[in-house]
Amino acid sequence: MSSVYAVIFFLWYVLYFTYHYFDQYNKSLKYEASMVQIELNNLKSQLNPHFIFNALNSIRALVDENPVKSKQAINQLSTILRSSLASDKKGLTRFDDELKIVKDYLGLEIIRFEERLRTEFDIHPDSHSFFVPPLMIQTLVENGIKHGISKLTAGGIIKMKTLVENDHLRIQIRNSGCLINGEKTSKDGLGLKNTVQRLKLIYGDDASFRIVNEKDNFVLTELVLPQKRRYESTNR
Amino acid sequence: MRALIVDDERLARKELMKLLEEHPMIEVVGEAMNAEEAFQMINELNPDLLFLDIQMPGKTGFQLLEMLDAVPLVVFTTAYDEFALKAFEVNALDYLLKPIQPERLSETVIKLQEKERAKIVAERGPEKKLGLNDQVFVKDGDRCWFVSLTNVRLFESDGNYIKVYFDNNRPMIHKSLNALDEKLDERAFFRASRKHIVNLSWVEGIESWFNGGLMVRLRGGDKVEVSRRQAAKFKDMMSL
Repeated sequence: MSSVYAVIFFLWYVLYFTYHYFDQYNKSLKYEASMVQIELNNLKSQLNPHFIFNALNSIRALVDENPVKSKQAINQLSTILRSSLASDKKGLTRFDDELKIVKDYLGLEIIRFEERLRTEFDIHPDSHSFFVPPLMIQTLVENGIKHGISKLTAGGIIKMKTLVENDHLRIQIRNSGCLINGEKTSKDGLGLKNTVQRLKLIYGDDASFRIVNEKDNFVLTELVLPQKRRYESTNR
Repeated sequence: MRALIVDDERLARKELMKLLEEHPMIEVVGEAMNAEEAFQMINELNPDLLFLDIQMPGKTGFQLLEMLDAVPLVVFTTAYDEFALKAFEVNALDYLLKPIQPERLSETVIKLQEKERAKIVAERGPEKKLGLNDQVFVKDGDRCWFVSLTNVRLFESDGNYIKVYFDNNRPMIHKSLNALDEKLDERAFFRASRKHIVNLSWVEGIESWFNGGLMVRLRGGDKVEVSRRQAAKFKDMMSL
């Protein structure tokens, strides 16, 4: 009789612990997922307030000087503000939409920097089928202006080029200037660090990022992204 | 005051120039695009005041100040307030955020006026009292006058304000009659009562009035009662 009790007790014991083990496991998975979500939200690109207020200041002056251009600038700024608000809700965005934001952004910076900023685009036609993390390219371009062009008295040039190879989108941003050693890890490099972490959280090891000095005083920032499909859901 | 604008963006300089048009006391004597250019211009032009952007290609606004032997008054102009504390440390007179609000710029100009007045006091000793040859600035709403005190016949207190009588105008200034009385030269202006200060050179006739007071008639017809206490003083002052 007592052996029967022993068996029942043993079974109950096993069931009890198995249940709690999985329950615990589940909870920790959920916890991890929510942590990733929180982290991603923190890493989401935010517009640099410096940029917004400088742009508004240029527009204020432009109202007198060139009303048509000032209206256009207001539209450009509102596109950017809108997308920055919407990017909180979206996991990935179409490459084309991001490209428009980058162009609007550069349009505003050209108003500010005038002849000190020139831009060039060389976009591979297949780029349009790709999805990218919202405002990520814009952040990298802004970085190139903030740490490159704006530091140069004579100004410089920003070139954006994309290539499609092996189902991957390679985005290259070149800006005049020079990467100072250690800048990647300093507080100025916080934006870049965020980009790296964000890529890791969205794509795991399938995406890559690098920033290097090139010859002729150019800095190359390069981003390689895979096709979206699998990644979209992880970033909701 | 002679001012130099230092900002790398042409439109930002233009906007500030435009805003400063409202403040004729500030004369913009030059514009510099970066710290190096500003350094040269400061040495050549010796301005009283800098409107200084902080982030510029090459050296920053702070670095420019470090290069200078004699530092003019500094008003920082920047798009974002992350430098406000540091600006405070270098004794900036003010810190304006772009886009600059016209009202906020007016406050800066008032600070500048105070600073300038303090400097004059420091240089020439205590402020001279205002006499008939001085001119004063009067602003009422949108209208402004620069009026010679010879033409002001009467000051009349009205609540927290003073009515300034000259020509056909009676603008109100926000000031107490006591504070004004202290600033005016007592040989030219007489405190007739709690309510009035008269310009003695406008007095045309004097009559005795009730209770030992006097009634003073001014050119142009205004009549002002002198209280009994002040009437005694008036007689003292004016008799041989």
